[in-house]
Amino acid sequence: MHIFKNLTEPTAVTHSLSCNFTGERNLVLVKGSQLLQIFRYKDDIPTKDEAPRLELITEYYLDGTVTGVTRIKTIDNYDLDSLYISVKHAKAVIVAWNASSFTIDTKSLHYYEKGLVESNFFEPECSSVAVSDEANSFYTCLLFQNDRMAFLPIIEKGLDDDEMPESGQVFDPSFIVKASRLDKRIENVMDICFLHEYRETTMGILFQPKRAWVGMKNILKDTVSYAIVSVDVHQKNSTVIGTLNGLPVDAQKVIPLPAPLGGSLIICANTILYIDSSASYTGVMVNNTHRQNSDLIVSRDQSTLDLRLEGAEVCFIQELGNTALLVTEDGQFFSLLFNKDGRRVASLELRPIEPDNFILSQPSSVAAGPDGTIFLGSRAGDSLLVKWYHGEPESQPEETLDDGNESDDDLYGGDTAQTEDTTNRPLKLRLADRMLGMGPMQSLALGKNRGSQGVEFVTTTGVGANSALAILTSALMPYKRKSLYKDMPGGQFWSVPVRFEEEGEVAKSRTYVVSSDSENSYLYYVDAAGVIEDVSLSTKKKKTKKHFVSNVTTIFSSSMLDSALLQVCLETVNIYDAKIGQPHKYSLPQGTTAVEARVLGNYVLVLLSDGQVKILEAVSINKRPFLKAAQVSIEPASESKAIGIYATDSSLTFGAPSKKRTRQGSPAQDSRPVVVVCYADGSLLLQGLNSDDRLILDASDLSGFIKEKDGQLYDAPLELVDIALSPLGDDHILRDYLVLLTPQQLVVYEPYHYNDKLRFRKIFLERTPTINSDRRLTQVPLINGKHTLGVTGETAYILVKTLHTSPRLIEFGETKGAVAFTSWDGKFAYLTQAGEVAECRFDPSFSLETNWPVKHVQLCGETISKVTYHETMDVYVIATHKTVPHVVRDEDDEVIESLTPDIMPATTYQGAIRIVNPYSWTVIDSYEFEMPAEAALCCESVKLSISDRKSQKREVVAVGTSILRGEDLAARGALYLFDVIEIVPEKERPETNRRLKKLVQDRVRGAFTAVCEVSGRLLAVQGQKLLVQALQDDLTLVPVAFLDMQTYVAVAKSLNSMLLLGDATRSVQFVGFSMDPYQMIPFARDLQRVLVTTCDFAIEGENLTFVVADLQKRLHILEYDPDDPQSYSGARLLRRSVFYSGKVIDSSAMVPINEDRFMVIGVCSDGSVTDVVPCPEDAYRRLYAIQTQITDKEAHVCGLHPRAYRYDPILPGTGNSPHRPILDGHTLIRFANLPRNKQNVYANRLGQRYQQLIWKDLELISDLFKKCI
Amino acid sequence: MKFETPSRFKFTPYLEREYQFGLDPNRPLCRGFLQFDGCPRGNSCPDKHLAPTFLNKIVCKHWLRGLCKKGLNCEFLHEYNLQKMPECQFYVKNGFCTQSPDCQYLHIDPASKIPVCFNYEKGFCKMGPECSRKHIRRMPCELYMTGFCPKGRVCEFAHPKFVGIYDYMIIKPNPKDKAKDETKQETKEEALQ
Repeated sequence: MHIFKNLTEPTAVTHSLSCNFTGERNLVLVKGSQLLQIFRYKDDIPTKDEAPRLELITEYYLDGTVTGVTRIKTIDNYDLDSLYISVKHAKAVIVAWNASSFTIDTKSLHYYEKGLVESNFFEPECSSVAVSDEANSFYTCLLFQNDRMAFLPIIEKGLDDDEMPESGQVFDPSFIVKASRLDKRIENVMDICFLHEYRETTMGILFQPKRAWVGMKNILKDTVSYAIVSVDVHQKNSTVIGTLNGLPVDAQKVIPLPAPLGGSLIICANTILYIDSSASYTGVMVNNTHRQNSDLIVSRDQSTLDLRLEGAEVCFIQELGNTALLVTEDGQFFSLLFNKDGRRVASLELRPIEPDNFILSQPSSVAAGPDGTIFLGSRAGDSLLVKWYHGEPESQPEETLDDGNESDDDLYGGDTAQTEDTTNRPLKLRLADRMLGMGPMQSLALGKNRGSQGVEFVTTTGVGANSALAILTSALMPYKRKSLYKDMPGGQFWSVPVRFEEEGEVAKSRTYVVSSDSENSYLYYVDAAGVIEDVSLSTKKKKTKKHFVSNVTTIFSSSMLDSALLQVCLETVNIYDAKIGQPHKYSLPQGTTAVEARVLGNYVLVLLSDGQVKILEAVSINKRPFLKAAQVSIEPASESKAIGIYATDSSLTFGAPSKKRTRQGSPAQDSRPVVVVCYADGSLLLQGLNSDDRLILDASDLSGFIKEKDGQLYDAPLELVDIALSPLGDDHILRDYLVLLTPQQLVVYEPYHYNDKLRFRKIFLERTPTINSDRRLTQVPLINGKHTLGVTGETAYILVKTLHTSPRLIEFGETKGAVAFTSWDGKFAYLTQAGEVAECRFDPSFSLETNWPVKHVQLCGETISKVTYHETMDVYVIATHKTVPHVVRDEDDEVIESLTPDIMPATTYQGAIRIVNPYSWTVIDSYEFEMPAEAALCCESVKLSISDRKSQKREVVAVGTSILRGEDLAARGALYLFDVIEIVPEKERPETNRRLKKLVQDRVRGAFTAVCEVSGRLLAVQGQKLLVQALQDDLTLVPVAFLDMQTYVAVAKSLNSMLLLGDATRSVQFVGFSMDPYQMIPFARDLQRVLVTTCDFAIEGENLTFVVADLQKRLHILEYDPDDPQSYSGARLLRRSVFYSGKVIDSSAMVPINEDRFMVIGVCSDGSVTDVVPCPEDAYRRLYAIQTQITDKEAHVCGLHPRAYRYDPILPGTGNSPHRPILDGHTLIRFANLPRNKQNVYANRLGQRYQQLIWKDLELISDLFKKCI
Repeated sequence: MKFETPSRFKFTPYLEREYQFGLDPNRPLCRGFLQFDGCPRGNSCPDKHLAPTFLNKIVCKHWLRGLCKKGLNCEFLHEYNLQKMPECQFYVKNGFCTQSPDCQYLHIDPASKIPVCFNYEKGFCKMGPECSRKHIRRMPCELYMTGFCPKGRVCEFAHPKFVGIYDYMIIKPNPKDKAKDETKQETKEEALQ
């Protein structure tokens, strides 16, 4: 009875690949192992340094855990690259670009699941390595479970015949080979690659015949080998060209280097080795541990660098030919130079690179792009697109490129002859583009939003210097809101700026505001102070009031001819001069009324109730405005009634896009007037006014992509509320999107060209607006530099697009809704349901690059591990730690002298507690822990009763620490209580008005791993002991209750006096705490071995369920039901369902949906926010039926089946138990994105009565945060 | 931030019945359970069923070490609640304890043992600072002073009763000080004359 859903998309990049996928230079990214995004390097943006930026083309959620992406070329599509995507559990998919529908096509699926050994001790996660032969593109190879390789031979392109083979086949059948068949010695393969410079297909295989690790170095050393094997897949035989034995055990991966250099790089933890084609090596050691761990002689010694190469990424710079970029895990940059001696690489050399003001940590993948750009994907923090250049110009900045790229020559003004000189000049990196990254989120706190009184979600992101707090809000909150008018009648209003032009006077301008309800119209004006005044109340303007026709409903109002006010009423169209004199009335044809009206230049387009479109033209005669029937007319595209009309200046090109501009063009220039008319039968007319541009589209089905109308339309009439052709995006990219609003859904179409014809494709929207037919689409002014479209209603939305995202709906965070948006003088104003007119701005520090607006604040350069909100004092308290060298100590904390002082020491953490002022987002006070290597494991703001008698509670911050002395000594820790007190701020720094005051410090044996509040007492878990402690008058803690715990309590959550304790290895326990007598009552526990990361309560009326997330990316729903016989009269928790979520959820919080429904919000290590929503039984059954229909009958992206994704064959118990599976919110939301006929077919399965209810049910997952804004 | 959550769930009646969990901790003791060997109402009894050992006020020091042999018949409390530990005799005698941080017995500050002055609690103590009992300064409740405080006993402010205060209780100025003042004034007057 729960639904799992992503609230924001994953942001941590896991895989990246540069390729030519859509016919341009593309970057393919996989975020969070799940979200496939295809970008283009966009270099036509006029920026200062002319560096390219990335623009999103399309994105897909895959129902699979991606383990690798590589590119191949197949003969049917030789100009473009196809993607070979390997997915967990030994599956691979080949996808190619389909330009006609602007989507990706699944070419073939390769499942090697049968080759999986049941359970592999060394590879429980079942990750795999996918490589392809990039030089020749003959094979791909998928390595899984360390010694199985699945080869897929690609049919080669013949030298003379270009045509495809008759069968249409592009692959030969694939097959699995055990690694030992290539050579007897090859076992436990660590990494493979295809080498470049050989004629035959040749692989480099890094393997370890005898397993060993560093701890065994006195017995077993240097067990890793590297073999260069020539493979002939057709003959199924292989030849070993050369082997290299005795490589260090910490070797990690092998990177092939392209011709002309050739060979490969092996990255070990302490050294980098270059292996040439004859399997001889040269290397460089980067720290002095290498000599200890390995006997391998390395020619060059750069051990003074003290580097750790675990997790380092290398990117070869093709243009330079002899340099690669190396990024270490903590974000140090080096250029790796291959010093050549003739054709042979004589030695390797590392040179540090100073990055220009950007930080990167934990690189996950790198990809070399065009024009000297390198994409650096990061697991922690923002991913970067950098551009390399040669710094320190001793003479003149010059650039050398082997391929003589024209644009670069212009850029740097150099010529291509001076290759040699540049080797002595240091490589430098410059930031070109930055992509928001929020992984890993470790802790979540809910605080009060200062701008709007809503709830803000504060999480920690990043690692090390990159660490920051991310402040997320569920909606776009109005900022600096100002009320302009209290009770404006009616549900519509327009602002009309007009200009006075009187003789002898300077032109003045004034803004009128017209509002209308179902009977009357009202006129207001905006005075000099920006406040709205009723015209009738102003004595001076009495006369204006008299002429304004107020006893009719206004359909539309706007300014025309700069100085006239247009009022479209039901039966007439009135136009006034700037002073609202006697209007000129134009009567609409008898028997018809106006339904909708739009203004385009001097034309007024009125949609009449009989489905005709009437066009009027405004002219000015003797400075008085008049209306007359226009000369232009629109030829109807269909015999049925027109039901929607929109007119705008648009930059859409109907035919072939001009050469210079790419598909999207650079708009704002040469825009032409375009009228969009939608007819009841679903045909859609795009007509250029005064031009021959005319396009009739078929939108009757609201299907995946719409093109020119040909043949049969879908027969059910289209219900349309509003239509718009609106520019979305920012200054870098602006494109006109076609937006259709029906009573249930919002459909956004993106234009693209195929065969020189304009087509539209549907954008997948992650959320649907709540059902409400009383909505309108309104153009709103720039929000933080972005062109957006407002969707009015009880819950209002804003449609936003940025360079790195596709259009998305973001809720507008006004609690009373917005029934109309308008603007004047660049101000953003709206009318709430209660009739209040308010003006607001939007906090520019919030980024709109995710589904939720997010703001990043970097605080102190140390990793933030925990965050909590102190409600009474309105501050955030964070626990941070920094990496320090580990000093070995004995039991009494005496330092033991190191035997090897010259070896790079191990590291440990030193922690601190800091308070952050949420107004300035700066650290205002800190407490550094006294003991060496003491760091906080938990930090929670709790409200404690001071003693039994008094009812008042005191909010204190409880911090549990551990002293990290290594594994030889028993753990010790301390429990601290801090008070946050108010002080007089420092001069010039008004934000420093809070301070930490230490109340209690309690040093004990064992680490404090979890704290929480229960019935006004403090629960602290100390080692394997759980103590409930009471705070006494003299501010000491006295234990009052006690319980033995199992291994390591990772999380403790309380609900009233009930507790849920999650163990790091032993699942959860449900415990009650009762007073008088004080005791802990263990109610029930779960007996499975679950590695709990976080757990929480979810409430739906009287049903309380426990949501448990574990390290194996599963979600468990447990329930306490003593009446069920399987629970052994309440002794065991019942497992209702298990669900593979694909994410490690690190922290969670319970958030109300309404009074008696509470959901669980979790933050994940891939930088996304998810939720688990409990839902009522009847809605659950309907949604389950819909989900089954979609999973069984729809085609899935990349052929990956959602049900297979949620079922993990390696982990027992996943896969939904038959009775109560968790629903997948992403599959459900696909319903709203389906064509109408499919929606009808699927909804019909529910029965006639329930068909309409499905839209209401979808609100259960899209409309959750009413209580939070 | 904590939100108001519902407090009753499907299993709440079961917990109340089986564990007496979630009931008001201040509900009365079941007399039947104490006097006879069990209450006829059993688990459905709304009153508190406590084993006799829980009625004791002081934690059994042997039980804490796992060495108490008396079980349910012990006259001391078998409950891990260090608020109810016996007082540390060494601390009482000497004012300090050699095992100070680890001593599990109660160290009660001698100052906190001085009883509260009842007169001062009522509103006034004529002994003033010389009173041997403790005067805890509290703010009078404005609502109470003006007539009625709806919070009653749980009010965080003081509700002084001001009963039994008679004229003779009024602090008179010290006669010696008064005499001094008078002599000063006289000398001044003389000087003026």
